[in-house]
This record gives sequence, structure tokens and C-alpha cells, in this order.
Amino acid sequence: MKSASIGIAITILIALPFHGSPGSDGNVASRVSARVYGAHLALLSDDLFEGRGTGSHGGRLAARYIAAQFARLGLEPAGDSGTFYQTFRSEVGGRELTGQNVVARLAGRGRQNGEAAVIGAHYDHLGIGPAERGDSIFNGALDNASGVAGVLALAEAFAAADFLPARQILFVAFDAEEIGLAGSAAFVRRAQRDRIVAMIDFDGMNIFARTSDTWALGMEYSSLDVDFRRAAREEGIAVRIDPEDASMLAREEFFTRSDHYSFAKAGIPALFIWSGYTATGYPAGWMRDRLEEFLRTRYHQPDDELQASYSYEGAVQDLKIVARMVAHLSTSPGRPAWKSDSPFQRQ
Amino acid sequence: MAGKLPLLLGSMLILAGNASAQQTASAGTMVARAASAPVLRAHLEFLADDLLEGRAPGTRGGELAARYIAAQFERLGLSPAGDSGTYYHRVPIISLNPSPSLGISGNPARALTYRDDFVLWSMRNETRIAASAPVVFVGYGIVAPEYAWNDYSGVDVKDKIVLLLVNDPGLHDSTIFKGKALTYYGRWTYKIEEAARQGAAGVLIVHTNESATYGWPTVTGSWTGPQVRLESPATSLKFAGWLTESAAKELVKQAGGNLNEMTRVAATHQFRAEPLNLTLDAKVESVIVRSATYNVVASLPGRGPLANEAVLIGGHYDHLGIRAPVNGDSIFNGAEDNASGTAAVLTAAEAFVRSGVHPARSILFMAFAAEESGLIGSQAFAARPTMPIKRIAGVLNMDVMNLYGRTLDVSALGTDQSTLGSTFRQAAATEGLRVTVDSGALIRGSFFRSDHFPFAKAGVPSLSLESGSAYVGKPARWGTEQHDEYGEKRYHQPGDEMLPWFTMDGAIQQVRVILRTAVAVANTRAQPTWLPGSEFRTAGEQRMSGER
Repeated sequence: MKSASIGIAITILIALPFHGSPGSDGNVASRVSARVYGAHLALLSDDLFEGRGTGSHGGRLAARYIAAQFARLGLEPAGDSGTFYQTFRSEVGGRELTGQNVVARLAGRGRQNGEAAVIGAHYDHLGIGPAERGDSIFNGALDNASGVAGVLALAEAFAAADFLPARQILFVAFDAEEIGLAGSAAFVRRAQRDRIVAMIDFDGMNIFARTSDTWALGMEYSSLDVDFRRAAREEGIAVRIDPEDASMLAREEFFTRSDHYSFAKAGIPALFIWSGYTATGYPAGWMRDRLEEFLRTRYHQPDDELQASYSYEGAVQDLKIVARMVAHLSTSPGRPAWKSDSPFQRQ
Repeated sequence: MAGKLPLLLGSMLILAGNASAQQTASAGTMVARAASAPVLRAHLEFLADDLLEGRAPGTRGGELAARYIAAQFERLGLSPAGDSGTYYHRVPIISLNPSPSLGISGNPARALTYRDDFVLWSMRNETRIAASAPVVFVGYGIVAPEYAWNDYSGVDVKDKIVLLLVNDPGLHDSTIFKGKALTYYGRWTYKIEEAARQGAAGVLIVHTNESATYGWPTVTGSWTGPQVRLESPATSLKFAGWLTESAAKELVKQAGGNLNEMTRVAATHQFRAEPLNLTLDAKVESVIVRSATYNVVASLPGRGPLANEAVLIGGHYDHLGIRAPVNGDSIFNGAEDNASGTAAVLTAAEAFVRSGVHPARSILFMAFAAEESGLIGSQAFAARPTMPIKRIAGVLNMDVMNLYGRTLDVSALGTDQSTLGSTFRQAAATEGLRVTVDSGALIRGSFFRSDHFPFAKAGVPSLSLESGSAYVGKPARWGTEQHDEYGEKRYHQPGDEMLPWFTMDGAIQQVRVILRTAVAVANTRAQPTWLPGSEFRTAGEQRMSGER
């Protein structure tokens, strides 16, 4: 740490225009801020965003907000014709819909700058629906303002570190996840798939407590597990999961249920960042109780809104791991690969 | 990690809150350099988007703008400086839609006609007021110690109706007051405030095109229909209103006087207020609607013994909302007025945070509500500040930034009023910019028309940033033409929206000057003061001796 900061100080003193350095993964991770994360999460889950339904006023507003944050950070627009927006039409279950992904690029500076690592989360939720106990706004605080806040907090950390990746890093907020992963499917349909080396997805982050461990879904399929485990080790976090949780996730086919799955199906190695289960300062089983309570009382209901009890240390700790991991992925020469026994393979 | 070094330097620069000029300059340079064009543009484009629906007070778009600004303050780690630990400062608004009548006591035959002869509105928060009182002509209705001028001298107007002239005596005599440049004593708002201090029951202002600087249709346009104002405690005044010049002449003639002659004398030291042989009956019924909006305010805490004082950087975030369409567009985006100033406040806040500089005094960042309804948000803050008003060392207001390009000059309203003027000029010079004075703005009294002004009235030295007019690489007249075109075609119209040719370069120059000014004021032990001859000097002295 010490030699790194002296090196950075010297870089500033000789006033080089760029003072991030490839490979300084911890530098990016150290800039992930709970304050930034919390501000975005609280705003996006505010009633004024009206549940961010695809095609609604609140949905368009959320997209506009995310684009403004990308622009503020000096990221390049990577949507349609020089904008941050990628507009798509899909038909899902006989329903025609128009959606809008929001896409920004931190440009690569190396020979691999034609390749990209994707960090994504869906921003849409269910909008305004039938009222329950007088509340008709489906805020989607955990599902998935929590994930979008993660993408924005990471974008801010990479920008603040003046990080120079060799490959591009694409920050993507997907629309229409709640309507059959339509936004991510549209993104993958248009992408040059062989140029995307990996995709990391947040969908429902740990906004309950700090944990001593963490987990990602999809580690069994690709070499991304090595990168994830290394980054977690560097952050001092164990990679493990309660066997009961693991069997629940398998039984419920969670790996097929969010935007990373659109990428995996298309042959792009992907991870779905889950959460730790050993909450610091709480009895064993506390995190599972939170999850079960959430699924029982709030999931896809107007009550999925910001709670005074939420805290962001857990999410930030998982984001730091992803910051390290993506910093590494975007600068190392090799590409992640599917394991030979994986049902997913490059196409 | 890279950010920690400037942070360290920044705090070293203001050791014990008593920085030398040179140290302040380098802190100013660090903050100025951190002002970012992409940040400014991102905030501006968001706030001016159709989705924000013109940001009118009390609407979804207005609330969204406030919520957005608060989220940015929170993201930046600034401390909440509004009510009870939040970023929001409540602004209670009352709207009164008046149905008035005005007649001559004992002469029912000669009633005056609403809109044709007069406009009138209630000064009380009541659905019905009535006043029947004798009329006193008080000339310009001015009490100005620095000009040895007191129109109320030797007359008791308690519970009476004062009839008075708008503008100030300098209008016709360049040797008194500030000549044609309007002093605050000339504003209609001052006339009403002074009449209340004198204990009058009513105020009638005589309109002329010249003295008001606008025609009678502007009066009927502005003072009929709902009158929106800050809800505040009652004064002696029950009503206020305007009379047309011809109606006023006729009333005075009936009382045996000659208004032309009285107006002439009113502009001289010989003037004495005179009770007229006239009693008027005024009645107003009002439909009242109450609402609230919010200023958004955050603090970057200072370091050292001056940290409980502050420099305020502000701009209003409200605009006109959704109204009758013009050319098929009903959204009054207010991109220039004043998404640009709000974005500049956020850019200034981000520059301080990115630079890591913590000056000796705190910096208050404030987005004002309901400016377009009559400086209501800033009035509310001056009336009920979240920190004592004497601890606010100065106010730097930004209302309409320069989105047209780089300039060789910059300007501000109020540079002639207080020592902030010389600080501003020094900051501009360091940025390589001349400071120009807009003489038209002085005649129109522009200093009295934006959110710094309620602070000036409360005695806080204040400036409002203006654009320069000498644009780099453009012909000499180009700037004036652009400003005129804005005034004619876009100002307060749906066309005030983001235009593809807007550039952030000029606005960033302006923000840098504001940042340097703020750092200089924040790091100088003595607070700025009003200049001798300023009409706000007395208010300034009262402020420093007061407990507020």
C-alpha cells in the first residue's frame, strides 16, 4: 500500500495527464464508496421514479438519470448513434415492447481495446400496479435499484481512479429484465459476442449487513471462478455458501433468472454476484432469514422499498471484489474460458 | 489514493483558518481547476430534460429536481444543512386570488374600475379584508439615511393609506441618489416594505411607463390572478395596489391637488409629505391556496475557528413548468434559466470535493425554490435561515450561465455595492478575465431581481454572476445579439431548452471565477462589507449587531 501511494504521488507531482496505472486493481476497489452507492440507491427507489416500469415515465426517467451519471463521469456513450441509449423492440409472450438499455464505455488503451468486459444490472421494475395497503408504487429498491447503484458506484470508482484498462469496460443498465430478460437479450443480439470476454451481473445486492464471505452464481461453469476467488482473497473475504442456500439456488434455477443468463446462453462467460451468508455481528442463519423474509413479504410487491435498516457495507464489499476482478480482467492478456464440462460454450 | 494528496495539501493550506494570500491563491487554483465541463453538462442536460417537466414548484418535475439535487449533495458527502438534519428547507407558499374594490369614501358615484384604473391585493393571509382610511401623499416613500432623505419625516401615516411614486428621485436629477441607475429605494417591493415599517394600512403606487420601466399591461398581467408569496406574519398593511397615472391624477385633483406638481417637488429636498383631503375604501376578497416547496441546501464544513461561518453559493432550480403550448411545445424547460445555474452550483460543489480543499469558512451550496414566483425560496431562507444570518459572510448567486462560448470578460451584479466586488475582480483577473459592468442592468435594477437579493436586504454582501459580452473569435456585437435573441425568443418560453450549439466553456470560466471568489472570501478573516454609499450598508451594520 505504502509504495503504491508514493508512486501515485510522484505521478501527480510530475503532472502526467493520466495517473492511473493498469493493474492497480486495489486502487479502484478502494474508491468504491458506500455513500455514492447509497445516494443512487435511495434516489432510484424513490416514489418519484414510479417503479421504473419499462416504457413508463419513471422508466425513462431512470434511464435518463443513469445516462447523466455516466456523462458526469466522462464515460463515452456506447448506445445508438453516439448516445448512451440502446433502443430495442421485443416481443415477449405476444406483447410488443420498446425498451431502452443505457450503455457507457470506459475505453481501452491497449491492443485488446476491441474487446470488452461488461458490468451490468437491470434498472427496470414493475412500475405502478394494483395498490396494496394504499401503496401502488413497486419501487424495486432491492430488485434492482440495489444493482444499478452498484454499477454506478463501480463506474465512479473506475473514473475516479483514472483507471486505464487495456480492454474496454462497458457499464450497462438493462431495461425489461422483468419482462423475460428482454433488454439483455437485445444487447447480446446486437453485440459482437466474441469480443465480450466476460459479463458480471448484479441483481439484488446484499443491503443487509457486512459478511465474512461471499458467493457468485456460475462459478462452476467458467474460469471466472478463479478471478472471483482471487479478488475475494485480496479483499480478505471467504468464498463459500451455505449448502442449504446452494441447493435452494439450484432448485429455483437462479442462474437462469437474470441478465447474465442472456450472455451465458450466447457463449459469454458470466457471473451473477450473489451475496455472503455469514453476517458480521449476527447469529448464524440471520442472512438467510433476511432473504426469506424479503422473498415472502417484499419481492415483487410495493413493499420492496428503501428500509431504514438497510446498510451498504455488504454491497460495497462485494463491489470491491468485482472492482478488483474487472480491473484484472480488463488488463490481463488472457480471456476467461468455459470449463470443458460446462453446458455453456463459446459459439 | 490519488485524491488524498490534494486533500492533504488543501488542509495544510488553511492552517488555523488564517491563510496568507498566497496560500489562498493556491487553494483557489486547486478548486478552480477541479471544475469540470462534463459534470456541468451532465447536470444541465438532466435538469433541462422534458422529463423534468419545467421544474415548477409543487409539481412532480419540481420535486424530482429537488430530489436529484439532494442526491448529488449526498453522493458528494456534503452535510445536510436544511431542516432537522435533511437537505431540504421548507418554503411555505400562500397564493391569494383577489377580487378587490376601491372607492372614494362619501362619493359612491365615483368608484374606480378594477384593471382599468387600479389593481389591488391583500397583504394579509385572510379571505376578506376591508380598510377605510385617509390618504397621505408621501412622494417616493423613501427613508434613506445615506442620502439624508426621509419622505415620512413629520407625518404620521399609522393606519392611513399612503399614495406614492415608484422609482427614486435620481430618475429626474442625476445629482441625487444614483441618477438613472435604480437604487433599491426605487423598487415597488421597497415601497411596500417601508410603508409597513411606518405602520400604514394600505399602499397605492402611481404607475407611469417611465418610472415603472414597464407599461400598465405588465401591471395588470402581474398583479391580477393568483398572487403567490412566502407565507409570513402580518404587518400593519392590509392591502397594496397600483393606480394608473390618470386615475391617480383624478383622485388628487378631487382632493384639490396637482399630481404633476407634487411629483416634481417629490424629487427635491423641499418635499414634505402631505395628507390629502381624501378617504378611500378598499375591500379585497381572496381565494387562498396554501402549499410548500423546498430549498435544497448542503454544507462543506470549514476548518478552524471560522468554520461556523459560511460563504453561500446558490442558484434557483425552479422554472415555469408546463403551460399553454407555443409552437406545439408546452414544456418550459428553463435550460438557461436556470438549469444552468443549478448545474453550476452542483459543479462548484463537486469541484470543492474533488480538489479536497476545505477552506476556513464552510461553503453552503444552495438550490433555491420558487424564484420565478418572486424570489420566494431565497426570501424564506433569509427569513428563517438554518444558520444565523450574521454568520453568512457572503452570497454568490448564479442565475443564467453563459452557454454561448468563451469570453474575454465576465460580469456580476453588485460589484459596486460591497467589497465582494474587488474580490470578484481579483478572481476574474487571475482567470485572465476583465470585469465589465452592464449599465442597462443598473437602470433596470437587475440587482434586486434574483436570489442573492433577499440576503442583501438582510445585510449580507452579495453578488449575482452575469455573462461577459466579448466572445472569443466572434465579432464585437455578437454577444449582445445573442443575449437580445435569448431575451426576445427564448426567455420564459418553451424555447429555453438545450440547443445543440451550447458549449460549457464559458460557464466553466464563470464557475472558476466564482470558486476563486468563494475560496478568497472563505479564507479571509474579516467578512466582506458594504461600501460607503450602498443602500444596504445600514442593513449590514444591523446584521452584525443583531442576534439572528
